Amino acid sequence: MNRFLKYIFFLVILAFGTVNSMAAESKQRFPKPEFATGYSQPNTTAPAARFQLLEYLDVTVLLAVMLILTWLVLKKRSRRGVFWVSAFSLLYFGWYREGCICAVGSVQNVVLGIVDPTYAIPVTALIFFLLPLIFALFAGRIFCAGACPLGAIQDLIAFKPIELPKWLQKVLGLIPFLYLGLAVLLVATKSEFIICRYDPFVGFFRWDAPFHMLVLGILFLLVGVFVARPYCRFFCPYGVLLGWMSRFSSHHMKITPSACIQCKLCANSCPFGAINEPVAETGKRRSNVYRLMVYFLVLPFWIGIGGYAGSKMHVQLSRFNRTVYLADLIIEHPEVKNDPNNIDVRTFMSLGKSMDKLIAEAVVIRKQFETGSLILGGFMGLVIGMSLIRLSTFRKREDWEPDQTNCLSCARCMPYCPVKE
Amino acid sequence: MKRKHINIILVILALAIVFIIGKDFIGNKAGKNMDNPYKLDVDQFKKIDSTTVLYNEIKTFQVNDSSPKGIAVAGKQILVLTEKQLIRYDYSGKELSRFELPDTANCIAPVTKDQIWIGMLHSVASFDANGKLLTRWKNFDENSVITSLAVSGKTVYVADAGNRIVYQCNTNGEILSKIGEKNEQKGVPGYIIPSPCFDLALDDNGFLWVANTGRHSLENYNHDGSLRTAWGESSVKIDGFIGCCNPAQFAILPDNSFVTAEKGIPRIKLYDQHGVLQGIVAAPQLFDNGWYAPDLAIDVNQRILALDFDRKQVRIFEKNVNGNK
Amino acid sequence: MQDNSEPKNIERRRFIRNGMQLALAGTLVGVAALSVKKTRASGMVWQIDPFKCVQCGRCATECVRMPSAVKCVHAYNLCGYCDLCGGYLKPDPNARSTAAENQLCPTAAIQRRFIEDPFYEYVIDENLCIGCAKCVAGCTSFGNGSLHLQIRHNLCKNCNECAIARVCPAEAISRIPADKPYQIKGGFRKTPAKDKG
Repeated sequence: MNRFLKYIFFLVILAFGTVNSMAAESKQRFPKPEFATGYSQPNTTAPAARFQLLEYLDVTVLLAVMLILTWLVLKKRSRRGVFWVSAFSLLYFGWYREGCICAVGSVQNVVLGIVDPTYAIPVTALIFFLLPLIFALFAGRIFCAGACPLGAIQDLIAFKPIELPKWLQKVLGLIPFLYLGLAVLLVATKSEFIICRYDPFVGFFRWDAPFHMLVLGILFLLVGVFVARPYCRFFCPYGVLLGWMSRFSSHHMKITPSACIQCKLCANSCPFGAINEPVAETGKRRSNVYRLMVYFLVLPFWIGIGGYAGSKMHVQLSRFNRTVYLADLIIEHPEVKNDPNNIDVRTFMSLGKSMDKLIAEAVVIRKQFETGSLILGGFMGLVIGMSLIRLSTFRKREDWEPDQTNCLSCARCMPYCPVKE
Repeated sequence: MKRKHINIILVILALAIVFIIGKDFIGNKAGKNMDNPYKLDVDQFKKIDSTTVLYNEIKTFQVNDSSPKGIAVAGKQILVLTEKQLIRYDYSGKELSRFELPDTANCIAPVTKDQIWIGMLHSVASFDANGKLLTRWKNFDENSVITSLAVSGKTVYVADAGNRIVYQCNTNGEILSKIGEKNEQKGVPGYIIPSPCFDLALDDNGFLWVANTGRHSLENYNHDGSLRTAWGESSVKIDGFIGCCNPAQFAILPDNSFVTAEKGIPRIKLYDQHGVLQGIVAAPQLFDNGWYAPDLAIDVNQRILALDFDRKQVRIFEKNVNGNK
Repeated sequence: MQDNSEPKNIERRRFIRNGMQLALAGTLVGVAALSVKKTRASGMVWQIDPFKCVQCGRCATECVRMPSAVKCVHAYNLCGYCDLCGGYLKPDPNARSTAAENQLCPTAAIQRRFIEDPFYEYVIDENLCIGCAKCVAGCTSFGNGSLHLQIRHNLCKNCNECAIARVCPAEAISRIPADKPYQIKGGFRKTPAKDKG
């Protein structure tokens, strides 16, 4: 009830557009002049922020879109339906909501919420993070199919998709892992939100962006003409999480509604290279299992190399944190302390914080980076090791099946299948 | 289009993407300095001729408090008023004693005899040398902002920036007269006080001087409240005053010359008794950002003590060879 | 170990899948539980603490919006209504007039109006203001500091991480609760300084 009243209050503010911010509670610091001509002083206006209730509308829309998509992909098997839903998502989450709030960036909010005791994550951001993952855990990457505005805008311009060589797909497929790891590291050290900083399409949604970001967006779209959804496949850090969920999802979409007749008609229908061909197991099973075990034994070696390489990088990485950067700068170039044109150093000096305190803070943050880069490096080692294992082992497969990790559930392959229920 | 051409285009596009992200990520770190294209450049007005500097800074010490408010000299001791306390220092900067004040303090009068007069939020109080409360008047209204005090015998002058008036009181706090109300017969222009910068002082003959900061002038009053004389010029040049409220602080030397302190372009200057610039006491380069003008006090050896509110320091200036010529 | 035992093979795969699914679900529940402890129902918005602001000009150049969502606002209660306004006029004006060559503002976004001798009113035209803080610097150093910057929420996109906050040298921009989205001088008080070092 109380909250309801609050909303009414906000509505009133919204209606009038301005608030008299000069609250009566605090007395003026210094009395203003007395005017003889009866001059009345204007109020300082304070246009209201976006109406809070609308944020919950966003969540509702997301849930509705996800449910409809799940039905369209799994039950209706309708590519056309998925297309129109994704067009709606592009309009709503893209142009109406201007790219914020977004599940891709919410990864950072969740991490910050966990590591930073002063930051409380908004409920809406948490739901935007969880909802697509929960759906992916049961039904695959439904979110990518038609709820993500970033995916939708790329989907629209994939006019002439070509198939990239498998090795290249594998190599480029490592980038999202690195991007995710780096993003988590930089958030966990309270440095910055790189996922949002390099969101290439948000400028189109807002019709407004710094020049280099606009260029970046155009470049991604140009690549997207030939390589379907380049951001989703080779950059999106949230896609990594979705891929993990989707990999083990229990009700992932199938290409055929019933039994595959091995007609190969679907083979070239996927612009994302996410359809696996049938594979027959070669060689003796025992030796295959033995080889797999050897690979797994080598895995810690990969992690070790990665961790070592990562920890070598920690000094460089830690300079992406402002405090460390400033401390390093002042230590290496003490003369900047007297440079009147270096605004950052001058501001630091005038804040009255001592050099010792800055260095102490920088040391703590660098320590965090040391641990973080070790973990990041180890993680990348693990990822590389695992993808090598997947490359060199066979998994017996009799039918044409979607690669559950990379399949975006877009339903393009379905119309190609001649089998009807 | 042939596959080969597409491949070439894709490689070029990919390199461009890597270049843009890499350049921005590596080159645009948080904390890296960026020039301000919209800088309010007042440096050209801060330039001074070094031969006009008459004083040297001979001693500086830190005030151990976050909110200093005023400075005064009592014999061989320096009194620093803070929001809540009065702190005594010797000339080496050693803290001798401090006592708590009953209210938020704002200004301190030059000390005569052993009585210390302090202006508070809406009241004036006096203390003996040990911090014992002697008198306290609370007869000022809600609007009052007491920014300066001066004492001459049994008369206390109180500058109230909030009501834009100077009160002449007796030591019991009874208001004898108001000085500086706009009055064309007496030739009084009235105060324009846009901010709580409203200083007053007494000259050697006991006449009242008030800084009418909105008019950039120092005004001299007779005991009956009529205007005796005034000087001051609005100008960004070294001999004038600029900004909304300068001279924000001033003090009068025994030879009736004036020491003025300004905010905006922070500087301390010396004028003779007719308002002609004699030289610079402290150049703008000695101060940080100049949001506050330093409070001033003058000791028996005619040294100038300035309380720097930005650095929270007491800074002592003494005449140099240049100035003794 | 028998080779090619179909049912067993599929059974094993399903077992692994279900186990992993359960483990991932557990992870999600764990993350949710960790986060839920500290969630807040009301949103957060970005705002500038005008007492920390050092007028570096980056609000004009770094905002993702062009022109910036940061505008100069005027706390009339603090204004001295000066004729010689440090925020309106250049430090060395030819005359105290509305002539363009005497104005400090690069876009002439401040309007000056005579009220009565000696008072003048100054009003910001937010359609012209670019948030460069040049007038703020003038007003803060020469005047009362009644001109100051605020993020205008009708313009702000409320980015997940404010591009200006990232580079603000004074760390003056922070997230504040959306139900009190402004820190306008006069009503809002300076937070007491914690660092005395």
